[in-house]
Amino acid sequence: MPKDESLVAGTANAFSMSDWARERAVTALINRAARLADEQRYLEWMDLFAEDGEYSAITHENLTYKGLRLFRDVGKAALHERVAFLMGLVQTPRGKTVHLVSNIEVEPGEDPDTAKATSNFIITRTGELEDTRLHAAGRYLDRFERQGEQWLFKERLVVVDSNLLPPAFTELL
Amino acid sequence: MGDVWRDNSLGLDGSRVIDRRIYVDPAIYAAEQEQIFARTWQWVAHESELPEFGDYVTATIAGRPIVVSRGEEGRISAFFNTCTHRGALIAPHARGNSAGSFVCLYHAWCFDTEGKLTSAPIPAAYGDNLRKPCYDIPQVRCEIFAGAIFVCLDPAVEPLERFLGQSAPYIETFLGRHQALGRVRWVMEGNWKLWHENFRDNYHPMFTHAVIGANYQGVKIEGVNLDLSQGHSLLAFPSQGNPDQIKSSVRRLTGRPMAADVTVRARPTAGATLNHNIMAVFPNLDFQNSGDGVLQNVLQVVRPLSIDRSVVELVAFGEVGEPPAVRQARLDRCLDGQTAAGKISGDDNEAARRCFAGFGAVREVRWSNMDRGQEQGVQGGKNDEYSLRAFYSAYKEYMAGALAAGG
Ligand code: FES
Ligand SMILES: [Fe+2]
Repeated sequence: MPKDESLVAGTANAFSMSDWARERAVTALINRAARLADEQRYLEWMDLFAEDGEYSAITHENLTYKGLRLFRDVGKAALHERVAFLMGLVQTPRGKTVHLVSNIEVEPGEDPDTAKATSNFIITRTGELEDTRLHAAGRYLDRFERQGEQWLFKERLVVVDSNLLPPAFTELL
Repeated sequence: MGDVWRDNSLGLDGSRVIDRRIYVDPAIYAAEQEQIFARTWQWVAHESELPEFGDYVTATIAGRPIVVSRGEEGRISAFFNTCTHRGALIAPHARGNSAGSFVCLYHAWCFDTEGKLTSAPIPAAYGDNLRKPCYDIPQVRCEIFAGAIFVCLDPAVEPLERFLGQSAPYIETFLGRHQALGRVRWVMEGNWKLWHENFRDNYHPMFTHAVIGANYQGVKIEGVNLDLSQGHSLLAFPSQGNPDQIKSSVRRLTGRPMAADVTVRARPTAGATLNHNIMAVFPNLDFQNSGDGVLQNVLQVVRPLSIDRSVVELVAFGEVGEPPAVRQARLDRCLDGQTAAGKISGDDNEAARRCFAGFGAVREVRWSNMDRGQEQGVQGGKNDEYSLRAFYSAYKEYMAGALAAGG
C-alpha cells in the first residue's frame, strides 16, 4: 500500500560544494516551474522536463489508499498534450495563479547526475470577477536528472491535500 | 390533467421541455429531498470498501447522517449515524473501523455493528428507565446488488433489484467481480440535476470538449441513446474517431508538432462494437465504462449541498485479479478525463456552472428544450434525448404535487 513519505531522508548535516551547487540548481528549477506556470508559459514549463519525464497528481487520500492518481503524464508527448489542453482544448477558463513553493529539501539521487527533493506548495487562483482563493496546498515529490549542465525534472508527483477539489481544477499544479 | 409542463412557451409536448424553476425554486428543492432523495435507493459504497469486520462508511442522504457497517459473519447493515442519547455522530469518519463497537465520544454509550445499544456507563443513575430497545439506533433499509451497497430512507420502498430494473444487468457487468480503487470528490457550482443531466446528454461532447470535437471530424457518429424506463437510461457507442485531427489541433494550439500518439479516447473505428457505456440510474447515480485503451470503469454520485451547490463523488473500479500492468494503468490514467481536474469533466463542470448562472433569468426565459429525436419509442441516436426525457418522466412522478403547472 502506498504511503505518504517524503523523498528525502533529512539526515545530512554536512554539505560539500557539489551538494551546494546541486541544491542551488534544483531549487532554481523548482522555482522556475512555479513561475512559468503562473505566467502561463506552458511550453517553457514543459521544457523543464526530461524527454521521458513525468508529471502526475494524486490526492493525499488516494496516496495513502490504493494509489489512484488524478492523472499521470509520462513522456514529452503526454506533457505536450496537456499543454495543448491548457492552451485551448479545454473551455474551463484559465485563472491567474500564484504558486508559492517552500520548505525545499534537496538530496542527491543514486548517482551524481540525479537528485530528489521534497517541498511544500500553496497555489492561489483568481478567476474573472472573483476574489483570490486558495486553489490547492500540498507537496511536490520531485526527482531530477542532469543532462550536461542542465538539471531537468525526471518525475514530479503533486500530492494534493484537499478531500474536496474546487470546481475548476485544470490549472497546472 | 396531462403533463404538468404542457403549457410551455416552446409549443412542445410537456415531456419535451424542462421548467427551469426546478433548478432554482427553494420549495421544489425541499420537496426533492423528501420525495426523491428520501424515497429512492441511494448508492453509498461498494462492498470492497468495507472488507474487514468493523469497517464502516458514512454518508448523508436527504440531510440524514447514515452509517453502513460490516459486522458479524460479514453482514452489512445501515442505521442512522446519531447517538440515541443526545445526538452525536457515532461514526466520525468518511471511512473507518469501529473495531466492533461504536463508542460515542460524548458520554461513551456503546453500540454494536448493527447500531444496537450494548452499554451505557454508570447505568444505575437511570434506575429502570434505560429500556434498551428504544435506545437502539433505527435501521435504514439496505440492500446489495453486485457488491454495490444501496440504502433507502423509505421503509416501504420496493426491493432494490426491482428499482434498478433494466439497469441491473449493466451494473452486474460494471461492478460484479470488481473492487473499488479510490474516490475523488469535487464541488459543482450549480443545482445537482445539472450534473446528472450532463451524463444523459451526448449532444454536447463534440462541442463542449474540443478534443472530442476534433476526434469526430469527418466521422459519422454511431451509437444509441436509450430510455431504460423507471428513470434510468443508457448511452452506448463504439470507439470511433480520428487521432490525426487531435494531433493537428495540438500542433495548431501549441505551434509544435506532436511527437507521438495522443493518449485520449481517439481510436479508429474497428468493428463498431458498443464498447463505451454511459448509464444513468435515477436519480443521481452514473456509470461510465469503456473497454479500450486504458480501461475505464467509474461511477459518480451527485448530491446537493444546497440548491446551488453540489458535490460529485467519483469511485473508480478495477477487476479483481486483473494483471498488475492493467491495474497500474488504471490507477495512473483512468481518471485522465474525469474529475474537476480532468481533460473532459472539467468542461462539464464549467457547462453546469454557466447553465446555473443562466437560470437567473428564469422569470423571463422559463423553458428549456429537450426535444431531440422524433422517432416514437424508447431509443434514438447517440445525440438524441430519450435518456434525458427518461429522467424527467420519473422525476415528475416522484415530484407529483410539488411542481406547479402552466403559467
Ligand atoms: S451523546 Fe452519545 S453518549 Fe451522550
Ligand atoms: Fe461532457
